[in-house]
Amino acid sequence: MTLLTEGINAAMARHKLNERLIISPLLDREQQIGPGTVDLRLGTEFLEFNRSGRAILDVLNADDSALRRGAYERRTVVPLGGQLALHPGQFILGSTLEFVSMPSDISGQVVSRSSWGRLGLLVATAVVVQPGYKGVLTLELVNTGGVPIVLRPGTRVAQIQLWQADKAASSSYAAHGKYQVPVGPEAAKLAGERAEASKLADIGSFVAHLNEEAEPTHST
Amino acid sequence: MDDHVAFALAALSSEIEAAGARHDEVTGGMGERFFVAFRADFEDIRQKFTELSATSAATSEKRALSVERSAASLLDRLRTHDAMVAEFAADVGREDLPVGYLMLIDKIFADVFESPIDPLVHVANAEGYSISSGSGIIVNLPAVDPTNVLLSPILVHEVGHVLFGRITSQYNENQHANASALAAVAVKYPANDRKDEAEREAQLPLWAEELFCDAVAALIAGPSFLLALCSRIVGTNWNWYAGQDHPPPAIRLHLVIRVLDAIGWLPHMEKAAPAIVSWAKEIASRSATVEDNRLNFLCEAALALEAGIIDLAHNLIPTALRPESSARNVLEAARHFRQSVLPIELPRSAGVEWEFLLGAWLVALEDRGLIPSSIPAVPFDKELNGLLIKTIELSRIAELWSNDSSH
Repeated sequence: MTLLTEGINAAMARHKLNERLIISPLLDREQQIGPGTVDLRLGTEFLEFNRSGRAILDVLNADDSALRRGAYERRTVVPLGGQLALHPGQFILGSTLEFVSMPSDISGQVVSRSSWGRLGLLVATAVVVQPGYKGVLTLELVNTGGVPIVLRPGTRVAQIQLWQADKAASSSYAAHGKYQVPVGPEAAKLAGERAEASKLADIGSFVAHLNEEAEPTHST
Repeated sequence: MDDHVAFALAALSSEIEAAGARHDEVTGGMGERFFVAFRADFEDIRQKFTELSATSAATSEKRALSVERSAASLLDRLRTHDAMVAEFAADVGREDLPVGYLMLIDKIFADVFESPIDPLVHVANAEGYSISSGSGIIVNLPAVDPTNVLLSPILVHEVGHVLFGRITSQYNENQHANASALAAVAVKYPANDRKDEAEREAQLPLWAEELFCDAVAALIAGPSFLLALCSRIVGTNWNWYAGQDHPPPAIRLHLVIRVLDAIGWLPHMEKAAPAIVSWAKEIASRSATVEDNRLNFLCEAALALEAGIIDLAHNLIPTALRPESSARNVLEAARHFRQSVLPIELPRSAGVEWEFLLGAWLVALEDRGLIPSSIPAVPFDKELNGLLIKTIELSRIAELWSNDSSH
C-alpha cells in the first residue's frame, strides 16, 4: 500500500523509536511531505572516482588494501552555502542530507525530482530502501545533459515514495544489510561478492573444458 | 651600490616576489582570517624592503654594512613567514573535514570565548593543540585521527590555552590570593638550592595553566571530558608520572572530579557508571610517595591552587553544562544511539552537542561492560564517531534553518 501524506505523518508519529519512520531533519515539513512522497535534500559529502590514479576499476579483482584506503575514490566535503559543479557525463556519489530510519513494515524507493531530471541530472539508480534500513541514503549523481550543473547541498534533489506492508518483514535490512548506518555516501562494497565471482569463473572454465572435449575431430 | 648590498637586496626581492605569489594562491573560505593577519605581516616586510632599497645607494662602507645586515635580517623574517604560509596555506577553505566536526569546533570557540571566531584548522602531529598567532587562532587536530569527535573534549582543553593567554593578569591576581598557602607548602618541602627554587617557580605556572584548561573543558563538556582525559592520560605511568609541563594524572583527575561535583554531575555519573567513577576517584586520591621534594612540592602546591583555578575558570565560563538542564537529553541521546538512530530532534539546549557526546560515551561504555578498562577503546569506535558527527551537523542545520525561518 502506497503511503500518502496522512500515512507518512502517522508512521512518523509512532511512539516506539524502532517502529517509527524517521526522515530527519525535515527542514520544511509542509513543503517536503507531498501527497505521496517526501522530498530529500542533497547532503554535504561527496565521493568522486579517482580517475588519474587508477587504470581500471575492477573491484572484484581489486587489492583489498586499496579498497580500504579509499584509493579508488576521493571524499569531498561541501558545507551548506557551498557548491559543486557536475560536468556533462560526470558521475559522483552524494548522499541525502536526511537521516532515514525505516521501520520493519515500510520500504521505499528513491527517484529524482522531475525539475532536476529535466536539467539532465539523474540522482538515484539503486532506488530501493529496504525495511529496517538506517542511515543517510547514497545518491548516484550523473549529469546526462550537455552543460555543467551546479549542485548545492541542502537543495531538494530527490524524493522517496513509501510503501507499507501488511505485516513487518521477518528479516529486516538491519540484520542483513551491508551498509550499516552510513552517515555519508558509501562506495560500492562488492569485494564481499568475490567468492561468487570466483565461482562464476570456475563454472566458465568448466564449460570451456567441456566444449574442448566435445570439439569434433577433423578427418581428412 | 656595493656588490654585497646589491646581492642581498636581489635575494630579498626575488623571495618577496615568490612569497607574494604563494599568498595569491591561498583561496578564500574557512580560516581566511588567519591569512588576513599573515598578509598584513607580509605587507610590512615588503614595505621595509622598499625603505631599505631606497637607502641602499649610500656610499659609506659603514652604511653599506648596515643595509646588508638589515637585508639579511629581513630575509630571515621573510623565510620564517614563508614557512608558516607553506605550512598552513592548504588549510584555508579545506574540504576534507566533515561539516559536523567543523561545527563542533565553532561550538567550542563560542563556548570558550562567547563570540564567533574563524580558526585555522590544521591537521598534523600526533597531539592536538591550539595557539593564538596575531589575530588568528590555529587549532591542530591530531593527524592520526583527525575526526575523532569522542576525544573532542580534549580540544576544549587545548582551546583553553588560548583563553589562558588572554587572562594573564587575572591569573596573577589569583596567584597573589594563594601566596600564603604556597608559602606554607614551600616550607614543608624546601628547595635544595636557588636553581631548584627557580625551576619550581617556572614549572608551577605551567601546571596551573594545564589545570585551568582542564577546568574549562570540564565545565564546558562535562563528564565527557573526564572520560576522554582518562583515555589519554591514564597509561602505564599513571600513578605519579609527572611531565615537565603537565601535572600527574591524579592531580588532574582530582580537579576534574571536583569541577564535576560542583556543577552537579557526580551523582548522575555514579549512577550511570559507578565502577568508573570510583576508579577515577581512587586515582585522584593518591598522594605522592616518592622521595622527590620538588614533585611533592608541586603536587601539593597544585592542590592548594585548585579552588582558585576552578573559580577563575567558572567566572570566565558561565555556561557550564549542568545536569538539571542536560541530563534528560543525555539519556535520550543514549537511547537513540543504542538503536542506531541519530538524536537530531532532541530539544536544542545551549550544550546539546556535549549532551550528544556524553550520551554516546555512555552507550559505548555500556557496550564494553562499564568498567574502567572499557574506556580506552571507546574513542576509536569509528561508527559511533560517524554517528556523532552527523548528529551534530544535522541538528545544527535544523537549528539554523529554524532560526532563519523565524525572522
